[in-house]
Amino acid sequence: MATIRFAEVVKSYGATRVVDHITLTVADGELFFLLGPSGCGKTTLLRMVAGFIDPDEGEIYLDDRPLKGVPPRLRDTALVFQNYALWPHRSVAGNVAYGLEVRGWSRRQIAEAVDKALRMVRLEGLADRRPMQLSGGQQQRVALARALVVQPKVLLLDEPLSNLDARLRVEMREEIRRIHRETGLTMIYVTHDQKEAMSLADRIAVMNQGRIVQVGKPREIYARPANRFVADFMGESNFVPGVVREASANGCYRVDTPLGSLVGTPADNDLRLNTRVVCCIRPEAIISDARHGAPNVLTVRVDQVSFLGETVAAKLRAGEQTLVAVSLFNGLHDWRPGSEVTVTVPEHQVIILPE
Amino acid sequence: MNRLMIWLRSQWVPFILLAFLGFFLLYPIAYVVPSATHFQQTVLDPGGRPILKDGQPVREDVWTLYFFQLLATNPFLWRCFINSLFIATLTTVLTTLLSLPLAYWFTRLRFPGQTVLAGLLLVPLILPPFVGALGMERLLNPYGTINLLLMDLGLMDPQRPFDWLAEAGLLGVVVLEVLHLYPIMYLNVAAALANIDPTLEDAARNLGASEWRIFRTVTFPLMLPGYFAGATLVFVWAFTDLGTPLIFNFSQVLSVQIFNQISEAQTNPLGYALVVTTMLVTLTLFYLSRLFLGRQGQYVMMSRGGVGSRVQQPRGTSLIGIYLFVGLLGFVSALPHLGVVLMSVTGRWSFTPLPTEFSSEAYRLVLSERLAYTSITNSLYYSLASTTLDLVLGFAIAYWVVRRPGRLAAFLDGLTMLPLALPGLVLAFGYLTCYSRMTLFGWEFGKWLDPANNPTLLLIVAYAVRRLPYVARAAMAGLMQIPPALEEAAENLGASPWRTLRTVTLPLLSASLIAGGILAFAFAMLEVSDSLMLAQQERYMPITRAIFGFWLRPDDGPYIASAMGTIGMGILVISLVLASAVLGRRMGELFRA
Amino acid sequence: MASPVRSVGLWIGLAVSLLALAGCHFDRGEALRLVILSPHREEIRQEVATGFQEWLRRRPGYENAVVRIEWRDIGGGSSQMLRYLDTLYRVHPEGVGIDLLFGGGTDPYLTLKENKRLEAWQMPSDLRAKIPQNFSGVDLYDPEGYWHGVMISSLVIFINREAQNRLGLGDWKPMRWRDLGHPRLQGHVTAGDPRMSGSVRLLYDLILQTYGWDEGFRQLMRLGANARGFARFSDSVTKDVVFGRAVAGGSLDSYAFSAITRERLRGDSETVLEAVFPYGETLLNPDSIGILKGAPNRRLAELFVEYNLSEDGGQRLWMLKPNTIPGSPKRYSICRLSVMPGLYDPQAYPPTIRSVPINPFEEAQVGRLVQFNNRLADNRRYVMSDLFGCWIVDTHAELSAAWQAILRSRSPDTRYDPLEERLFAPPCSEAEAMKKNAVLRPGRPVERAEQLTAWIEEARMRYKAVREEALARLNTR
Repeated sequence: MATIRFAEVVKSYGATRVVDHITLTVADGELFFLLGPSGCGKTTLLRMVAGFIDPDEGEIYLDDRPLKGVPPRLRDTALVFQNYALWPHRSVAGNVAYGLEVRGWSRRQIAEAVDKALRMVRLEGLADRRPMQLSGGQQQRVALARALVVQPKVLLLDEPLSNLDARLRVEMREEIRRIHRETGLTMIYVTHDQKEAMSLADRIAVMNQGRIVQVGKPREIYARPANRFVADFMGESNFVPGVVREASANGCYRVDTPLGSLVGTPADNDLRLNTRVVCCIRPEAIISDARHGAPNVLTVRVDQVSFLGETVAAKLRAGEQTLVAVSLFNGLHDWRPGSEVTVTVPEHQVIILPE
Repeated sequence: MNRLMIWLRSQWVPFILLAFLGFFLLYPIAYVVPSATHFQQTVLDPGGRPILKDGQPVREDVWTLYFFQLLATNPFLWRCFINSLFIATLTTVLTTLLSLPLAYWFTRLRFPGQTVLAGLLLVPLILPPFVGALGMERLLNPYGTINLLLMDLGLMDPQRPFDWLAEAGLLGVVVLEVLHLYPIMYLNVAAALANIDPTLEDAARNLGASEWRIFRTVTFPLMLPGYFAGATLVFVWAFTDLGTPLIFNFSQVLSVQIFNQISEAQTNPLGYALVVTTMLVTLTLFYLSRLFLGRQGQYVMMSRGGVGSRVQQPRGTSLIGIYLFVGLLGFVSALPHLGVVLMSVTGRWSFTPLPTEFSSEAYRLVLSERLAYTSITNSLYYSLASTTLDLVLGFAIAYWVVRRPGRLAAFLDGLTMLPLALPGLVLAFGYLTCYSRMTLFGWEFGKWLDPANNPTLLLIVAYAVRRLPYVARAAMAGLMQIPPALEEAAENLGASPWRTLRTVTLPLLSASLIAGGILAFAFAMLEVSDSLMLAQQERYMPITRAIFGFWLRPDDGPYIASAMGTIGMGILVISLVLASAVLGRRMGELFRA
Repeated sequence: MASPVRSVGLWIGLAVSLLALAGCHFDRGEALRLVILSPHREEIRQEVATGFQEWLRRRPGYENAVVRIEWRDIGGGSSQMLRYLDTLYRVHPEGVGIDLLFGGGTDPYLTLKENKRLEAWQMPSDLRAKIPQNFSGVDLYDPEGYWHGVMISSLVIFINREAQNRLGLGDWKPMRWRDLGHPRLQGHVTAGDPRMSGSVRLLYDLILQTYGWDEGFRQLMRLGANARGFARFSDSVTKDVVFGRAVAGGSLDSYAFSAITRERLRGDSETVLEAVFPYGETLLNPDSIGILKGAPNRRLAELFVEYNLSEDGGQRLWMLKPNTIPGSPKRYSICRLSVMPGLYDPQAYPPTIRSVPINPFEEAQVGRLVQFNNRLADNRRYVMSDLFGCWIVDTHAELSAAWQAILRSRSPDTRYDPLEERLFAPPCSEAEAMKKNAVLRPGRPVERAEQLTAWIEEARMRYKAVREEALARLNTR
C-alpha cells in the first residue's frame, strides 16, 4: 500500500526554478511516468521522493506521512539509477544483498532473498560475477534486483533504459511490465522517451520547465494533448496556424488556415471566436481519400516519399505549408513525387490548440 | 624530422630507453647490492699490525652477510631502523587523519572561500621540509618564539624552558614531515574521492545505509587505490628523508646513518647494507600495495552521474569548524615558511619572540656571496636540463606505452615507475660510488661521471630519473585521452608523421606536458638527497646544498640560508601557480603513485 | 594559449641554449688550477683565493695569472676527510688528483706523513727566520717539511651569558673544562661528535690529556651526560651557543671570536657572548697545510703554501680586520691566530686593526697553556672517536636519562655518590684503548662493527642499570 502525493512542491537552484509548484497524486500500485525533455525537473522530482533533494517549499506525502526531514535511508523508496550505480568492488550478489545487510537480515535469509531476486530478473548463475563483467542489460537487471529485494513501498526508476540499445530497451520494457504486474508495486518512472511512457504507463505526467503540463492516461494525452508542447513532445505533428471563425456541429469549430478552411475539435472547450490558434494534425491522420462533401479535403503536391519498412512517409506541400503524412495501408505508396493528390483529415483528428 | 618520427616509431626506441634506464637506474642498484656483502680487508699479523707489502697494507677479499645481521644485532642501528619505520608510519597515519576530512570537505561540500582555502592547503609543497626545519629552529629554541610566548602567558617557567629541538627530536621530525607531506596525501585522497561516482553512495543511502556505513562499505573501499597511492608516496618519503633529521640534529635514523657512511663507502660495506635494507623496505611496501590493489582491481568508474549529486552547503557551527580546522592547519603548516621569511629579513633577533630589527642584509649577501648566487643559477640550470630530459624521455616512454602496448611497453612502464619506490638516497648513494671506476676499452669515461670530479651530469640525470614517473604519467594520461583516430585522420589527409606530431599530438598533449614539466622542475629545485650527496664542490652546488652549507655557518649563515630559502620558495610558488593554471583541478592526479 | 607547440619549442630551445651556456660548468683551459681539500669555511676560502691571486701576480712570471681554486668539501670535518683520502689513495696510490690538504689541525698530517701521502717542501730562509719551529713544546711545522702550520687554533669555552642568566645560572663561572660537567648545567651544554669533526676530537683529546685517561674520560662522560645533543659539525656547537640553545660549549676560538665580532657589529654594546680560555688547560694547535702525494699542480701548490706562510700573504689575512692595511682581508674578519710572533707586535700591528684580542706567545708565559701531545692524539684517533661515539653519542638518550635520574634522586649538596661514580667510570683502560685502535682503523670493518656493537650493548646495560637504581633510590626517599 503506497500512495505518493506532491503538494505545491517547489525547488530552485539559484535563480532557476527547477520544480515549480507541483501538485500530483500517484495511486497505489500505479506505474506512473514523469515524462519530459531533459532539464524539465522530472529527475529532481524523483530524487525528492528518494530524499536526496529537499524541496524548498511544499511537501511530499508517502501514504499521508509527510516526508520532510526523513533521511533517504529511512524512506523505503528504492531507486534504480540511470547509470545503475552498481558498486564495482562488490559481486552481483553483494550488490543485491547490500540493502538486506543494512536491514540486519540473517545470512541465510539474505541468500534466499538474493537468489529469489536474481531469479526474478533472470540472472540466476551470475551471482558471483563483478558488475563490470556484465553487459548493459544484465547490469540493468542487477540494479532492478537490488532495488526490489528490499521490498520497498515505492520503486523509483530514473531513466533506467536510457543506456541500452534499442533492442534491449524493448526487451527490458517487457521485464519491467512483468515485474510491475508480479509485484504490484507503486512505481514512479522518469523518462524522456515518449514511446517508453506510452507503452508502459498507467498514467503519465508530462513536464516542461518545472511544471506539469498534462496528466492522463497515455491514449488521452496522445489523442488530446493539452497544448502544442505536449502534442509535439508525444510524437511528430503537423502544426497549421489559423484563426477560429465559427462553431460547427458536434462541438467542432471552423478555422481559417493557409490550407483553407479546416474543421477540428478543440483540446480545450473554452475556445473563443476570432482568436489565433494552431491546428495539430498527426501524420497518420492524413488519409489518402477524397470524400465529397466531407470537411478538410485538401489538394496537395507530393514532394517526397520515403519507404520506412512497415510504414511509408510522405512530405506534402500545400502553398507555403509542408505536411508530413505516414501511412501503413492507405495507399500512400502509390504516390509519386511531383504529383498532385487529394487528402482528407477526419475532423476529430484536427486538434485545435491555443497558440 | 620525419626520419626522427619514423625512428621514434621504430623498435629501437624502447631499447634505447631501456638502455638509459638500465644504466642510470638498474646499474647503480645492481652495484649497491653486492657491495653490501663484499669488501677488502687489511690482513693483520699475529701482533695485530697490518702486514705491509711495498709500503702498502696487504688486503684480502671478504664476502659476508654480516652487515645485514648487524642491523638486528647492533642495538643502535636497530634503533635507527625502528625510528625510521616509526617516523614513516606515524607520518602516514597522521597525514591520513588530516587528509581524510579535508578531502571529504573539499570534494563533497561547497562553501564560501573554498578555492582560497584549497590553495592554502598546498602551501607546504613549496618548501623542502629541511628548509622548513630551518625556519622552525628559531621558533623552537629554548628562548625562541614559542617558548617566550608561553612564558609571557605564564604557561612556562622562564628558568626551565622546554628544549623542543633536543627533547622532541623524533616527534619534531614527524611533525615537520606531516606538515610537508599532508598535501600530497590530500591531493591523492581528494582525487580518489572526486573520482567516485556519487550515485554509488546515493544508491547505498537509498537502500537504508547510514552515513558511516556508506563510508565504510562504499566510499572507503572505492577510494582505497587512490589512498594507497598517496600513502605509499608519503611513507617512502618520510622513511628516507635526509634533510629534516639532519637539521633537527636527530641522527638516529637510517637516512642519516647512510649519509654518515659516505666517507667510508669504499672500505666499509655497512653503508651499502643500510641502503639495500632501505630499498627492500620500500620495494616490499610497493609490491604489497600493488598486490593488494591488483587483487581488488582498479575500478574504472562506469560513469559520472552528473544529475544532482548531493552537494551540501555546511552552515553554522560545522562551517566554523571547517574554517577553524583548515585555518589552523594552514597557519601551522605555514609556520616554517614564516620562520624562514622572518629569519631572512632579521637584523637583530635575540631572546625576543620576534626580530627587533629588520634588514635586507641577507639578500644583499646572497647577491654578493659567490656560493649563494652560483647555487641559484646552478639549480635553475640543473632543473631546466633535467626537466628537458624528462620531457623527452617521458614523451617517448608514454608514446610507447600508450600507442604500442605489449610486454616490452609494460616492462618499460614498470621500470619508469620504479623511482617512485626507490628513495632518492639509494640512487644517490649508488651514483656516488658506481661510475667512478668505469672504463670502456681503456677509456676511463667513468671520470666524467664521477661526482667528485664534476657532478653536473649525474645531478641532471638523478633529478630527471627521480621525477620521470611524474612526467611520464602526465604524458600517458594526456596521450590516453587523445584517440589514435585523431592522428590517423591527419595522416589519412596526407600529413607526414612529424607534421602529425607537431600539429595534432603535441598541441593536444601540451597541457599535460607543460604541467608535468613544471612539476618536474619544481621538484628538481627541491631535491635534497641527491644534492647533499652528489654535490661536493662549491661551484657545482645546487640551491638546497648551498642552503645546507650556509645553515652550518655560525654567524650570518642561517640568515643567508633563509634568504635563499625565501628565494627558492618564490621560484616554486611561481612554477606551481603556473602548473595549476595549466592543469586546474587535475593537479592532484600528478602526485599519484 | 596561442600556440602550445611554440611554447613547448620555446621551452626546449631555452633549455638547449642553457645547456650551451653551461660550458662554464665544464673546465675552461686557460686558468691555473689548484684542487684543495679543506674543511675551512667560506670566508677563509674566499679571502685566500683572492689574496693568493693578488700575491701571485706580484711574482715574476705570474703577472697575468688567473687561478681557479677548486675547493673540495665532502660535507664533514677533518676525520671524514682523512677517511675520504684513505679510500681514494687505496684506489689510486700514485695520486688522487688533489693538490693540497688545508686545515683540520695537525694530527691528520701526522697520519698522512706516516702513510707517505705527503710531499715535502722546504720554507725559504726568510720565512724560517720569522716562524719558530717549536713553541712551548708544540711543533709549528714539520722539521722535514711535510706539513706547515699556517695559523694557530685554540679551543675556548664559549658562553651565552644571556641564556645563562635567564636560566638562573648567573653564578656559574667556568674556568676549566671540567666546569662543563657541572650537574646544574644538565641539558644546557652543547657538544660535538668527534667522528664528524677534527676540532671536536681535538677538544676531547685535550680533556683526556689534561686530566689523564681515567679522570679525563670521566669528565668527557659528564660533559656528554650534560649535553642537550651532539652537533654534527664543529660550527654547530658555536651556533647552538649563539642562538641560546645552550649555555656553553667547547668551541674553536676562531668560531667564537667571529661570532662575538659579529654580535658586536649588530650593535649590542653589552655583548651576550663570551669566550673563556681555560686556565692552565688552553691548547695551542697549529692548523696546517700539506701538499698531497701526486699533486697534479705541484709548483702552484708550493707557491700556495708559501703564500699562506708569508707575512704579506696569509698571515695578515688571519688576524686583521677587513680593509685596514694592504694584505688585510677584503670582507671578513677571519679571527685566526698567526704563527708569526711578529704579527703580535703592537707597533707594527696596533690592536685596533686586529680581530683577535689575545697573543698566544704571551699566554704561554701566563701559564694558561697545556702541553699537548699531537702524536698521542693521532695514535688513538680511531679508538677515541669510536669510544666516545658508542659510549656517549649513540647512547646519549640512556646516558642523560640515567644522569637525570641520579640528579633527581639525591640532595644537591651530595659530595660523593657511588652511582655517579659507576655511571661515569671509564669503559676501558688507556692501554686497552690503544690496543683497540688498530682494529678500529679502516680496513677491518667486521671487527670494528663487532667492537662497536659490544660497546653499545655494554653502555646501554650500564646506563639502564644505573638509572633503575637511581629511580629505586628516589622511591625509597
